[in-house]
Amino acid sequence: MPLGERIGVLHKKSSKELGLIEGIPVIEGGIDAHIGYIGLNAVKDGNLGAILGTSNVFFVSSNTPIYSDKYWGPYPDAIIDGKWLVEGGQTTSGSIIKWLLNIIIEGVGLENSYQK
Amino acid sequence: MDYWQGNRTPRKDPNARGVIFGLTMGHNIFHLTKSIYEGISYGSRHIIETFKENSFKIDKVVVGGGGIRSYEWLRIMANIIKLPLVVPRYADNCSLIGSCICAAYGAKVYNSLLEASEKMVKINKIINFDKKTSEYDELYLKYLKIYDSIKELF
Repeated sequence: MPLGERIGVLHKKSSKELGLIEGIPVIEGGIDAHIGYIGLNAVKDGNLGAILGTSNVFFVSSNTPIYSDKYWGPYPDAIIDGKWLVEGGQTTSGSIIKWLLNIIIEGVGLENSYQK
Repeated sequence: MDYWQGNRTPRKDPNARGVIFGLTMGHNIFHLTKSIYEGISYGSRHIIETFKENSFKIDKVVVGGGGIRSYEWLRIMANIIKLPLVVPRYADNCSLIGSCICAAYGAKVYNSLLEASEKMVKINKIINFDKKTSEYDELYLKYLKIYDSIKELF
């Protein structure tokens, strides 16, 4: 089902659990980082979308497929119909900082470590 | 070398491991922390250069996720990848904003996801790289070379 398509409406049970109004439309979402890429308004020529955190993920889109064994994809219509999505990723990024603090300076805190 | 859990792209080597190289008695915990941000950013540059080699044109990087709360990370990243970083408003919660965009398009407030994205996302700040910082180019080449020199050992 394409992103942004209406799936149905919120049922009584779910509306109570979520504290939302019964009957409101439910819309198709997607993979967290893919939706984040749209949330950055980065699906444009010349733009790279980068989501930094525990791990890093990078996105670029093209109108035609560009194949390589060095990244993931290209995936057709993965987010936007007509666009091919390519992804790259770093498995450990922010998590290394956390690792360092855990093993060496536990108790100092992340904020204090990089502001000095 | 930021390969604590292997390298996923572009090397695709699950056996690779992290390396902290060149320690001296003069280094302290803050140098170590900075070196990790630098290592991560060299890894980011390696991915970006791979995209460029495959004819993707990249002139700016739009950043999001919880990591952008560290200005130090962004500053180091900009200087290493040598591209301006665009930080949209609420970009640390970009998946939440993206969900709002999907909902707005689904509710027919906008005609397409791209239009909704264009209208609903505002730029908060742009972090430009320091054009005078050139030592990172040399260190990036060293970062690539360290892996090539020790890959048989993983």
